[in-house]
Amino acid sequence: MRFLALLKGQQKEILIIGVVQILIVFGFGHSIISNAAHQEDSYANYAFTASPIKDVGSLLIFASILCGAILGLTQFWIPGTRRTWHFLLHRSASRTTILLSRITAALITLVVFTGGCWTLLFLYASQPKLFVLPPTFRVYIEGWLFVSLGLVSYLGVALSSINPTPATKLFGTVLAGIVIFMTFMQFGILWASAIIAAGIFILAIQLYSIFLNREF
Amino acid sequence: MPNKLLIRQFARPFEIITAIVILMLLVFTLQMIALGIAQVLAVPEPHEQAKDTQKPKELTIQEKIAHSRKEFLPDGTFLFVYSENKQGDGGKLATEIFDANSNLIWQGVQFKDANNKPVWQGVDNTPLPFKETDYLAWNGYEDWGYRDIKQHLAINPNFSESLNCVLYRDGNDREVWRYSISKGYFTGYTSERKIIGYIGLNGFVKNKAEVKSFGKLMHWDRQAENKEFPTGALWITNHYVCLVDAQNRKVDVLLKTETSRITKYCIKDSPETHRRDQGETPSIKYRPAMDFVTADNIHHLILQEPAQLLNVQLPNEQPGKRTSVAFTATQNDIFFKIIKYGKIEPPTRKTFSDYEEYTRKELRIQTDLYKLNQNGALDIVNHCEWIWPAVEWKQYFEPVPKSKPYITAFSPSFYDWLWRSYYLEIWNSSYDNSTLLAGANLVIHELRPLNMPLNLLISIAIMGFTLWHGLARRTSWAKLIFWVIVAGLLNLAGLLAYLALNHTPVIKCPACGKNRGLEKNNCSQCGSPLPIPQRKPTDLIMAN
Repeated sequence: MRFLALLKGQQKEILIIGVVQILIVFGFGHSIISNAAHQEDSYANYAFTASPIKDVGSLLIFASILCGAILGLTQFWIPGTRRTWHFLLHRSASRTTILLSRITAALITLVVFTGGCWTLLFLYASQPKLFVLPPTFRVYIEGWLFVSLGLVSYLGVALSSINPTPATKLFGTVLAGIVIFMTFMQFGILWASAIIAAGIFILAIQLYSIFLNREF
Repeated sequence: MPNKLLIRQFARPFEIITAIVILMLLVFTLQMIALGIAQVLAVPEPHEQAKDTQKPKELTIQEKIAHSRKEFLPDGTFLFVYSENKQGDGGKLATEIFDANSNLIWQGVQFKDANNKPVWQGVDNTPLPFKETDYLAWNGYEDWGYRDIKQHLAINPNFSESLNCVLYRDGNDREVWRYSISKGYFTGYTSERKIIGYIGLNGFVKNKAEVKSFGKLMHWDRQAENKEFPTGALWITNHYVCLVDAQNRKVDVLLKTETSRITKYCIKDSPETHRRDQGETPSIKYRPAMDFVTADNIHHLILQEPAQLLNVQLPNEQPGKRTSVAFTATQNDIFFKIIKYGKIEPPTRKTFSDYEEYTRKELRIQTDLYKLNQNGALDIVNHCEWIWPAVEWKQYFEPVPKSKPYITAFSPSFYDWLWRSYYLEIWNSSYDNSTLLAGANLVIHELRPLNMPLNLLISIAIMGFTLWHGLARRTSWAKLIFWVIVAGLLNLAGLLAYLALNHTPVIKCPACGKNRGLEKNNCSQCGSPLPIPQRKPTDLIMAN
């Protein structure tokens, strides 16, 4: 119950970020796909062809990473600068519950708002007759990988926000950057997923450890 | 309630790894910036510049032979063709032709006439004995296979690409045949996104369960661009070579190599042939031919005009031997050219230092020309040898800035060991490896310590400093020893990681007077507990 109450509170706080995310991803994404649909290309046979919604990829990466970073700042940096952690941590909920409620709220924003918009855009682009070569299912999975980069940036910024050691304060954000960079050096979905999963795990375990142990 | 200490201990290794990775990258970036600045500042001295502009020395016959093109005529005659750009001579190309015994048989210049056609002018107006097109044109082999396909599937902001064939039937009735790289077959869709069927090794089928995979795609070639094989696309997988024709929904299996996989292939005329074809009418008529080499070193030749399939095993072509093979098929004969590099066998483990040693020696190079006889066996037609002079290895590298040994002295010492052991191996197969491995290999090549004694001295100094710094702050000997080793191994990055994660304030121990850290209750020197602040007298403000 306490977890749900905290989650609800968090969702209310970050709802505006989710709404802006919908406007950016769906608004721009829909416009990009509609424009691409009217530009019929001639295709060479037996050749690799770029995805018709290729421009949505950059938008999705940009929106996810930015959304993750803003969520991280809102949930972990702002309470530090406003010195409101003291009030929150003296509630009857455990630190684990508080942290989990924040991460879950951020996850919901990324999955439902960004991921949901991506799914709708993909379904729109997959309509028969919209494109000669409709996007493949692999492109859909890659889109979800881009969405998960938002979680990487979120955890990186969150870790940097609550890390009390000045010498290692930025390490979380830098590690998130390295994970994102390494993802784009992969050829296969499996390797890229493994790198993202490892990055998320390394960042999350450090975030959890610092959140439980530090004095606010 | 989870155990805070347990989670902290579990998270600690990840914290250390994060710090090490980031600080190694930081040190790498700083070193690269310093090297960049050093390169810019390393302007050659005036006398060095003057040395560079001096007239190049005249080459000896042996050097000319080594640097010449080695050509064969269809009758097996071997020739060395040496060309050199003459400075300040209107772009004329000085050319000398030597026979197999290094005797000069023609000397002259080549230049372009008003119509941009090459003209050959011999000394004393001797006519050129052989035209460029009289020499046999050779087809080289490609072995890059799947790695090119991987580039199209890379994770990138524009999403991966897909391999398609779009066909139009009866005006607007459109079909899309999409090839699945992972599944190894085509799926056909109508413009309404309804599945038409599948094209696999067993041809066109209606049901997915019946389709047979082509296997791992290595390469494909759009045959529409190739006049020699007019329809469909050539599909090369690890065990099959097929002609796929989505238009007619047909698959022809040209070659099946079930026991051994295809490792390299030659499917087109070399660019050299096309270049030669541009100048003059070719004096040799070539047959359309493809060659697929399997892992057991069998050459599977697929020839046209007339259609023919031949399996050939070349002599002396064994894995690990330094040989280079080329082939050509004229209307009358099929030739193989085998170049064998040196009698000094390269070391089995190709370490960089071994390779360096190897190239410093004079190298005897042997070229054998083989012709396929009526029985499908190979006859040696000609054989020649020449000497490749010892290579001064340094000439292949850019001049090293004088400050580089000092900049790289802060790199981990094991970079040098990695460079000597693996650099060449990874570099040779860099296109096969992941971008990450290839990138790490280049970093190691750039930043390996050039001055090992200095590098080891700095590592030892860093270990000493870590030990000195950690003695007062230690919470356990094991941790301190771990950090001393890490600092020694990683050099500057290790020291920075140690300081970032372990720097704590120290106080003078009231018991022994030595420095002690505040991480541990008991003094690491004398074991006394932390001093308890003296209680001050109670200061109460009493009413009245």
